[in-house]
Amino acid sequence: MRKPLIVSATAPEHFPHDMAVCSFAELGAVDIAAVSFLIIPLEADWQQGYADLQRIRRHVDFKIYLCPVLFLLSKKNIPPEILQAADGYVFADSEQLTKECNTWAARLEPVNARIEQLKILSDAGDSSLAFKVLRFIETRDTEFKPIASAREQKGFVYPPLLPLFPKDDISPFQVLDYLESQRLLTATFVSRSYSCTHCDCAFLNFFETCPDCGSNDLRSEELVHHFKCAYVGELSDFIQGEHLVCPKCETRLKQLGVDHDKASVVFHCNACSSIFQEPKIMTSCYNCWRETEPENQVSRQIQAYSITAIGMNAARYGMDSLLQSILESKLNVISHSIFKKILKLESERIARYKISTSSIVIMRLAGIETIYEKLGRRSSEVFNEISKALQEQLRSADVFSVRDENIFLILMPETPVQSADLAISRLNDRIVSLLTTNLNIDCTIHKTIKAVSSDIVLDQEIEHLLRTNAA
Amino acid sequence: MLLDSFSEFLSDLTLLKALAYFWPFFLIDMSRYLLLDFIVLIFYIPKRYRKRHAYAAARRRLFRERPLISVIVPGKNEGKHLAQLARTLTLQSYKNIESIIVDDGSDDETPLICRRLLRQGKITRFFRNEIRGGKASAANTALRYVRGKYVIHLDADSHLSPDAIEKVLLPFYMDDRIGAVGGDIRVANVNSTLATRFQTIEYFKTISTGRTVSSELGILRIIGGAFGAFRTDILQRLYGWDVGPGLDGDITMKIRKLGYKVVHEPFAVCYTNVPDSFRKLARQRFRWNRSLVRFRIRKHRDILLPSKNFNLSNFLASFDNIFFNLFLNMKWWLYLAQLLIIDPGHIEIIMLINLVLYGVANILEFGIAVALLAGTMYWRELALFVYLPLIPLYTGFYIRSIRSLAYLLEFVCRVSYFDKWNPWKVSNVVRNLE
Repeated sequence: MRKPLIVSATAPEHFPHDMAVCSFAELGAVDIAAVSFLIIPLEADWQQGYADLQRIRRHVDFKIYLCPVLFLLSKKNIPPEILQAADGYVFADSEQLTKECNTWAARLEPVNARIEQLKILSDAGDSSLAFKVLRFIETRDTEFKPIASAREQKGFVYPPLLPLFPKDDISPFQVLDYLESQRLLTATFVSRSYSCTHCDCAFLNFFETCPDCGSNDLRSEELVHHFKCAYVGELSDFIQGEHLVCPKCETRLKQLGVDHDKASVVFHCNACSSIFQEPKIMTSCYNCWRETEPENQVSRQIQAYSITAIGMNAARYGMDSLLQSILESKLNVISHSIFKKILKLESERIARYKISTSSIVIMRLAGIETIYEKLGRRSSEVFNEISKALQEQLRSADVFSVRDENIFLILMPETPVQSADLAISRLNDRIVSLLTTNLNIDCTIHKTIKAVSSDIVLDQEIEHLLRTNAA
Repeated sequence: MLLDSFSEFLSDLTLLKALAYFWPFFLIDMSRYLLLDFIVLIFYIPKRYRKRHAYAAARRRLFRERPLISVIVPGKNEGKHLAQLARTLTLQSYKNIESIIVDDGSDDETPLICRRLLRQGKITRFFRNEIRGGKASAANTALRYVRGKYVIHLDADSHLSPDAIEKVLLPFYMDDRIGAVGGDIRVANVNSTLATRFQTIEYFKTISTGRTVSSELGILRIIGGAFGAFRTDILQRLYGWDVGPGLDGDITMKIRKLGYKVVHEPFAVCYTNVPDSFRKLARQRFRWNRSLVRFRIRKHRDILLPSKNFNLSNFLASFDNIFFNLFLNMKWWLYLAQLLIIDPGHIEIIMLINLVLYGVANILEFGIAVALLAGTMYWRELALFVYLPLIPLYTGFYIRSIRSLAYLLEFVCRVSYFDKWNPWKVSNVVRNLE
């Protein structure tokens, strides 16, 4: 039977005394499998409680970051996007707190059951943000709908997902976009919003300007058409006291649609006296105050997301990278197990004949994750470029495989280490230049190049490369 | 057999008999159109030559003053013609022009085309009335915002020769009493179909020659909507155009009533696309002819009546139109009745001789037009002389039948008030008022 656990440096004032309390630092030592949900007290200053939630959600251990969290409220006027960031909330002064907690425990049991089904994919925990988001969505098994928020610069926010994001510069929109592009999530249209092309702020002021001088000091006038005499003039031409009288035939206008209509609207620019019907629409950003044409602002589709069957599978067993799928479509990528078999055969051949040298290259593109975090859907263009570079550098006899999201294995038959190093250096330069120069993304390629021999144990070499560079 | 009868009929023909058999030609059509045109142009052509220095002086005054000219183009669903019109405006010898296009509730790509032309700087302003109000309201929308000293009204399916605006403005600089000048309207799609070829010849006869003669006689009754220049102050004094159809003839009469002269300038050339099928042409002419009854006989009948504002030239302008177009149109039915009653045995021969007479008259009238406009005519227009023998059939039967039906229906049923040319709501209001 799972029990709630209060996460707080100090025990909150009102709480059932049979509930366990631990600090965030102690959370790692707790048997999280025995916890039904975590309770974070949200005091008058809700920032502290929200920060605690962020620390939990940013944990690398999926059992911790996915663990359901409830806020323990001592006040009611908490902003909705903060309240909705947790899985739920209970009131500290409720007389039936224990009963409520039991209800929540039952309600959250399916979430905990789904968390239990997940597999540990890496000893280092879940480091990919997209993967964490996917797992979070999978365990909640609900549609994640954005809410409009004046607090968020982007205008819309997915409250439960926001604490997962460590930095402001990585937008949940891009990660969700990416997951959708991988068909791991499915999206339904909610709204469309414009955001500033310079600072991504969604708070834009739309205003009409004169197409000639750009001033927004405009006056608009309705054009009135008098049916009887075909006179067309501005509404002010017709105003005589409290009545509308046609200046041409001096007939009093009776009823709109019967003896006259309003044909259109004209604008007068008070700055340059220009007259026009179609003012130029401009936007100014409330954040950076830059003025831009609406068509140059970023138009974003605001969507609600829910997980697909593929997404569920990926959340449980790991997620192939977009790069991997592109590489598989462009290059002859073989599976890791077959690669290992070919490597074994090659090492035996070399050991037997002792007349040639082949090389094994293990490459890791560190920082590749930030590409899709920064570029969202457009990351496929960059990945296409990377795959093109690989395609050009590899020979048809080379054997290529991918491990995890960012580790590439290349067997280069009949190639000495120096030649392999030269080829990989060229590849390295091209990829780094592509990412650094064009996109300002820091990407480092870690590599290990060795001559193929019977001493090589591939998994050990990969482990070594990861450890060395992690250090 | 027919030939024998023909020679027998001719041998029996005396002068009196000839007049009795062919009075519509000899007493009316030949004298009013052929002879009058000939006599007037005999004087006009040398006079025009003598006045060449006055025209040159007027041109100098025009270019020294260099007034802003507002070209207004109201229309509905005319987008496909506008690029060519805008291009010919940019090619004008007179450059100080503002062009204002008014889209009267088009439901095709016209607004997109106009916006593109505006972005490209090929037109000065574009107004769109989302709710269609009719051509007069569209023209009045433009008039509300013109800034020029003169307004040139163009039909959207027209385009101008490079010196058309300059030429149409010169009369204003030669006589201060001129309130409006009509440009010469010619056919753009000359060789599209037989219908357009017939209309090309007809336009030379009725517009180029006919209006020049009327203008010389001081009885010009219409400044065509396709190309007309107006003093802006006069248009504003009149608060623009009234509800059509026939709004161009109507405003011409209103300008005349104010005491201003209206003249035709045959060398200010505008090319317009005419209906390319006899069916479309019938619809157009049906509309035009109904307006004679509606405006001349109903709305401006005061011109015909004695009053303190009576003006002889205005009377003659209206009378000429009503008498020759309306009453004498009916003469043909009388004439046919006369032939059937008096001499049904010779009806084929008489009609054949009529065709020959009118054919010869058309050839002579075409010759007069060539003499007047030779320098501005194209070979493709001159080559139409081969169609001249067929014109009596076109005008004598086709046009005359449409005209008769239009007059009859307008008199009896006031059909112009139900015309789809105006929006229903406008027709409804006007029908209840007039």
